[in-house]
Amino acid sequence: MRFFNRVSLPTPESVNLEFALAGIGNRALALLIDYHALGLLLAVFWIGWISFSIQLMNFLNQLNGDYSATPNWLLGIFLLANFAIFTGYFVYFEVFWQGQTPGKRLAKIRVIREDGRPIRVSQAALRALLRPVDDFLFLGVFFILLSQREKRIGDMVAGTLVVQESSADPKTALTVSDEAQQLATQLADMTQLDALRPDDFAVVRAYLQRRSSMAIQPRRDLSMQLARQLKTLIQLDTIPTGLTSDQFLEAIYLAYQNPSSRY
Amino acid sequence: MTFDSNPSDLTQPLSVGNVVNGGFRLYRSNLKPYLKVSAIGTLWALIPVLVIIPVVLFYVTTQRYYNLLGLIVPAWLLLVAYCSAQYMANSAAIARLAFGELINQPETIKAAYRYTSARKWSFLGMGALLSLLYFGVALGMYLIAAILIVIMFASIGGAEFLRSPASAAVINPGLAIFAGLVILAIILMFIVVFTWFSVRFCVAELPLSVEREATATKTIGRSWELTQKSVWRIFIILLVTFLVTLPIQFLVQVVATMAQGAIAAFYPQESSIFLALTYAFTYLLGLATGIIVMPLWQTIKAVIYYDLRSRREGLGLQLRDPEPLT
Repeated sequence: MRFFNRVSLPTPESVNLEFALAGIGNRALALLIDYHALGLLLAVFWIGWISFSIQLMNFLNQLNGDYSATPNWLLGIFLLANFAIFTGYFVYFEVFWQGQTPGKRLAKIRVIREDGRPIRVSQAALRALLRPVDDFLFLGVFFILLSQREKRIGDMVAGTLVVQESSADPKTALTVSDEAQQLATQLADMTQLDALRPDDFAVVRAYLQRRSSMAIQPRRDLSMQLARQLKTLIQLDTIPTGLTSDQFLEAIYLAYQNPSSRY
Repeated sequence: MTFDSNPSDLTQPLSVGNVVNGGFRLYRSNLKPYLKVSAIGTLWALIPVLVIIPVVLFYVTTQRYYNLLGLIVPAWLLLVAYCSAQYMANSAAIARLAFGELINQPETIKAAYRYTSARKWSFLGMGALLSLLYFGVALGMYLIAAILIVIMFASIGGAEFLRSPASAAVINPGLAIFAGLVILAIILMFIVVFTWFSVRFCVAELPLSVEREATATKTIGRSWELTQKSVWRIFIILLVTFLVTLPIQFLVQVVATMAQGAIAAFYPQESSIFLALTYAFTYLLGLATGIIVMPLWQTIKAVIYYDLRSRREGLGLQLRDPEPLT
């Protein structure tokens, strides 16, 4: 089993694009956020419309004339506007935010066409119009869970897919100590940095990026273990005295990342 | 579970949605074995119910031999304890299987069950401890609520207000609103505090299922420590999972209502047969739902636990095995 459900899409330019499908979790999360936003929007509209209607009727009652049909008109417009807000919310955002609604943006997912291109008004409208069937009749969940490409009815009709945004590596700035910087310049001469593979470097970088959120003891153990293993890999006899294992890892990160010092 | 070769998949913590996805995908790719373990566990939980029915019928029909109860009741309680332990060992086996796949060390059902079954009394102990903890929390909350209510009553005029609440509320509606707000705040406090504790204890069975040195008390401590900085995130994960299972509950409700209608077509609604049949059917349907939904929560908890350990302890941040230097 793989963690992500990946699909490969043939594009008109006959290039295959790889995407990870959004999955039920991200889509449910996005829906949860969107329905809260939509609920808030509708609540504001309801309050506004009701107070507007009351004031309008008060005003009309002061005039002489038969306005008995007005409440029906007000109700009719109110119902239409509710529909327009519900549908419009999804259509507007999915078209102008390149397949994302606020919920989808927070969940880092996006609607695309089956050939990988961004969706247009027609697709967004079909998805939004079939949304009540998928969401309120609870059909969407079953379709997403059971179909190979996780399509709800709206996706099947509109020919769309919901995919995860390819998350670039978080460019969190790594704070590196001065000692590590000094050591990094010497490491290239002292050791066999070429023995490190990109995978090893990725692990060191991931540790340095994530160490601040780790618990103290496991972090210490992990740091020591990584440092010991790396020391063997790059054939260094002893870690220079006075350095912590974290500083040693920082130095390796710097030295490996900066090829000019390697050649 | 084989992760994609892309190392960023391996070294990045999982997002809320992807934790839920992971649980669903684990369940889906192991549907049959997980359902089997879940069914066995649920049947264990059914045994005490099946045993008590003939006993009750016996006493209802004979109306005698009451002194035997002194023997039957403790024996039945022992049975309940044993069956609960078995149920927990089975559900923990699913969590262990799921975690094994997450760290690329899959196991057979037998091996996983052997491990958790050997610790079934620890699981029971953990369950008892958790119940005690929740009881303590509830007690504390009731005390706080009682104090707050007393203060509120005193501040709005005490017994005077109670004696003629209508008139007092009319004279000063602000007081009635104030009282309502205090009660709302108390209810909110109950919900928030219980949710918070539930999140802190939510992965309690995992360490006991996979960590060799875990005991009934240590495993609760581990859950407490791992969830420390992630309460809000885990809450959203559990909420989203619950939302996705709602349609299943909805489907069950539809089936139950339809069945009730079908039974009503054959037996009058007031008859005891109708009641017995409806109860029996609803109970069985509940069991079936439990069998289907339980593995999902176990896999979700396994992914939460895996992700927490990856965040807090760098689980999975391993260099390749150092090559032997020749």
